[in-house]
Amino acid sequence: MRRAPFLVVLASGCASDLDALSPAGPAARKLADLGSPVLVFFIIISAVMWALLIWVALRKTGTLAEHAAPDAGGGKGWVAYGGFVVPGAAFTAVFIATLRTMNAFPVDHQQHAAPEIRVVGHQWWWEMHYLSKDLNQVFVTANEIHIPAGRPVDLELLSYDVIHSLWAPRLHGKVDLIPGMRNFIRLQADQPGRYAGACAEFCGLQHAHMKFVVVADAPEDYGKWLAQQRKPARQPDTEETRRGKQIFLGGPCVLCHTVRGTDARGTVGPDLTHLATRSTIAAWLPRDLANLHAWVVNAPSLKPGAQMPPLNQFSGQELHDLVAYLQMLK
Amino acid sequence: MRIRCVLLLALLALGCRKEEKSLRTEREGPVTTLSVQGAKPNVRLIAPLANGEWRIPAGDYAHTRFSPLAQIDAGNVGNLKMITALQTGVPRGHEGSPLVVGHTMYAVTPFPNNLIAVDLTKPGGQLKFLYEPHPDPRAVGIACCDLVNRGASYGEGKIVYNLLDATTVAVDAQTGKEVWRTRVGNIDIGETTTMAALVVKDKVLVGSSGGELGVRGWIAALDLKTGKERWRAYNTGPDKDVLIGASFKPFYAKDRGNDLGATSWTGDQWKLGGSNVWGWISYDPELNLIFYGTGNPGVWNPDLRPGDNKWSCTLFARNPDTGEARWAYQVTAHDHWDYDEIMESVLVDLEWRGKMRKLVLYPGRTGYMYVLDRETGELLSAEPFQPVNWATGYDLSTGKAREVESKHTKMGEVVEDICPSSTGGKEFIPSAFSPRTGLLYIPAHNTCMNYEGVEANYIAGTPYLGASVKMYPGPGGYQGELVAWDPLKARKIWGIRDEKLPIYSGVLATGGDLVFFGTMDGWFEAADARTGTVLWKQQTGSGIVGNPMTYVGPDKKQYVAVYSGVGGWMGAVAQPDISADDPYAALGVVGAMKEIKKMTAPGGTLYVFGLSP
Amino acid sequence: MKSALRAWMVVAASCACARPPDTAPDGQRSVVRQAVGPIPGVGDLPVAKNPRGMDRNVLQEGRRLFRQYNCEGCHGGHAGGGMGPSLRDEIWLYGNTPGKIFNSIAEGRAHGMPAWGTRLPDRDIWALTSYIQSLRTRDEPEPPR
Repeated sequence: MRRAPFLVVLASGCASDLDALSPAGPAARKLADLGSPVLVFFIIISAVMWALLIWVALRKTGTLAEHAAPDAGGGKGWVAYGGFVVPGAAFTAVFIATLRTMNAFPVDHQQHAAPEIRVVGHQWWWEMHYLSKDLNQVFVTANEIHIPAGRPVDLELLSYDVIHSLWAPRLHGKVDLIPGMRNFIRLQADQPGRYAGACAEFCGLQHAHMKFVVVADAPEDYGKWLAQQRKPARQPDTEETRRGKQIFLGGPCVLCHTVRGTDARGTVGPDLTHLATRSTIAAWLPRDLANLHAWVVNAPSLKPGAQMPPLNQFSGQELHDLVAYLQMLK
Repeated sequence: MRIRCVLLLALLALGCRKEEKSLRTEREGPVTTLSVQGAKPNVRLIAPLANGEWRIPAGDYAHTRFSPLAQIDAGNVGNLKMITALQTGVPRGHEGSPLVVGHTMYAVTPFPNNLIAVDLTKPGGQLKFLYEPHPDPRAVGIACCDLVNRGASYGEGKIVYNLLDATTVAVDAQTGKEVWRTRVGNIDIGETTTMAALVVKDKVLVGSSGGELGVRGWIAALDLKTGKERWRAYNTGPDKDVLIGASFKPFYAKDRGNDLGATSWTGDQWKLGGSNVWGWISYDPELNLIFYGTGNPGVWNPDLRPGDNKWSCTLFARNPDTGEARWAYQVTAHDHWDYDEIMESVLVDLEWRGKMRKLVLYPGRTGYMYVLDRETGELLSAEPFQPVNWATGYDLSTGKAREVESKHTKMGEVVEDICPSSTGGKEFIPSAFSPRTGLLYIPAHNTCMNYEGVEANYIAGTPYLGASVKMYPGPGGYQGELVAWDPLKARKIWGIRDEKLPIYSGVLATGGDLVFFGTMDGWFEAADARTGTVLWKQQTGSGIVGNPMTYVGPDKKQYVAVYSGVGGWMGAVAQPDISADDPYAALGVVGAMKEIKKMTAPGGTLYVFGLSP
Repeated sequence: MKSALRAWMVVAASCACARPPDTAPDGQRSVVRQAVGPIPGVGDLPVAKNPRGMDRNVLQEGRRLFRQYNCEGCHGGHAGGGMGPSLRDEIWLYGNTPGKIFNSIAEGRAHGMPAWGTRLPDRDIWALTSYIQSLRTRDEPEPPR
């Protein structure tokens, strides 16, 4: 479906990377194929309504004294057609179209017998388990879903705290992550690229800062990425990163975080084994030196309510070394 | 805490005074012969107790806990009187049993793991020596289920046992001097040692506890002379660590493959994989194999450890000289319920379907009674001896349980009414087998549970569970039962039920056709081994979680000894530092056991009973 | 504050039970300054207040941390005991004031209580303290059922 130019104008209020009307995959396209005509349809109806309203407003019917009584005859046709028949037909048409679209989405658990990725929603970040029959290929990452472009990937959606909702608008509609339930979603991106996503169900204080990105890789890049992520963490190769690793393992970090290949096996916070391959920290902040420093020292000031405690016990040098180590975890 | 051991020696039987002379006489040769009198024709014991001593934890290597001594029998057991009561001064769970070597009795206390030697030739028993090893007190905080010790072994003039702080010591049996002391594990990551070390030939076999703290279980052999480690077999990880080599021939396809101990886990989760050896080891001198089982896989919550999780909940047969595995049989793959399979493997030869076969009788924590061929590891029979709903039975052709899907525990969901609970149809407390009746006497429990998998966070040296468990009494209106089980017919012959508390003491079977056992509210009882009629009982003042044993004293008379002193996982609820108003406390057992606080109180005593003249 | 303290001391003194003086520098981590026996002389050191208070959110946070840092594993699902002692009963081996509880967590105690002070920020330890103080009160979050 080609986008009508005026839709661009209408949609320009949205950030372009969360634009549900510029689909980049078959699931989003099905939604857009429904959404765009419905949008056009309702714009037309709105236009007609506004036109009628303006027409009424502008119509001069003489003075107030000679105005007909409100319940005067005539106009019953307006009520019957304008009030029942036309809206009824419009809603029925939209309803049928919606049902047809819904039917085109696989929701049956049978169809998702072997999801490739398990997504767990946490307050307020995302955990991704890359599953495999070969248990040694399984690994965990966070806040970034890599998928191969051009083929569908099944995801299993879980939550253990509150209801979250996974929404990458250019790829798929919203699907909730509900405690005690398994939901599924089939993601596909036609072209390699980065597709923004966010939690779409209010889940507490930092709901707005619970974002993620779907990275669709060309198949060969995806294979490389998988191979890289399956490896244990890199060993530090400089003096400062060696010190940083010491601080990481000897300090509070290990109580919550995992770095595979080391003794850090905490599972409260995100897996940091390959942190430096990810574009964000804390599910929304760009991963740069300034943000990393600030996050370690005083996470609650950046993301009040987040579980990462303020760690102000480090000296400047220690903090520098620690962040250098984190930045090395490619 | 430094405990000064108070010894209270009470001479109660008035007749003892007259016998002082005969008490001093030396032991002369074996009291009974190798063949068991009155044994059924289709039963053969491989290593029956030879003389009236008790040198290793179960008495005999086959772990039958059967003594041929027959002076005390159904006719005179009513005259059994207390001869000695010896306070250990430790108010913790007194598991295991004392040893008798020559004319000395040896008792190991719970933490601080003192060794008490009593001279039996002196009237009422006199302290021969007290050895205080002073283990690291930090071990107290990482011992999952009370500060217990399950006993000692005697070999080459030494008493060998484990201290709570992952250390094995050998003490000169005559002088009480420490001969060697070997650190076998690391308490900083949560390893402790509570099991009874077993002396086999020139080696001491020890295993670790700590399956609740994400450690990696192992069994090791130390040199009896020096304490140096001779081999160590881990129960998780690649084959070279598990000592699986060319001679490893498991019976079932499910247990065959390369490096299953590593590939049946995600990533390197096997490094936290539990599978400890905290129960009993038995030994078959004819086949030159040892038999033992492994505990629960690391992290209770099954969703956090996909895969079969080998070799957790597995029975192993190994060569004691090299440690090489001969066969393995995983009782439950990917354990959902904390069913540790560290029970006693009772080794007997029985006529199985018309043919004498070398068998392992294994009453599992699962509530099933397993019979395996101990040469091959083939499962011959598996029938429940207590109410069970996690499985509908076993498929003998594949060796797999037919598990009930709805009883699989899950993350984020309370699965209700699972029977038995994590404490099992039976705990580590050992059963006894009598060749005269052909029955296995199983001390069983009947509790069920609700189990919820929750998130688990690994912090070295702290618990690694991920489960919220609440237990409660099972169906049928009883909590404990001493089950007399016919392994050939695979059915219960009789049972003695305890309405309020589990049976948490070991069992002793004797040539006098008696079975001795204790209750958690402190009664020490003797029942007719054929009918289950209780013929005698004596209140001991504190719940019994130890194992009775019997021996011949210097006066050539038969005595029965048992620890009293409530504790252990279930018994710890009687301790004052556990609150009754939190059913989830003590890993969930408070829900089932809170009444025990009203029935008994902690306090350790070693009792000896004998016939009054 | 001071007068309130004195009033409280009078109440305490009028109790028949001998109460050990609250003399340790509460809320501080110095092992050296931790009093073990009675402190000679007159007067009490001020009792440290829990800076995080007993707010419902703090208690919830304390409960969450109690589970996350595996306190639950040793002290029981709702602190009823297990590997470690119950925290729901009246027995306080090392004192029950907020500062004493803080010190027990931060410094560790004999027989296996780890010293969390070098790993956890004070803020978390205070939240745990709040939770422990709320046990068996009406404010206890998620009481056992």
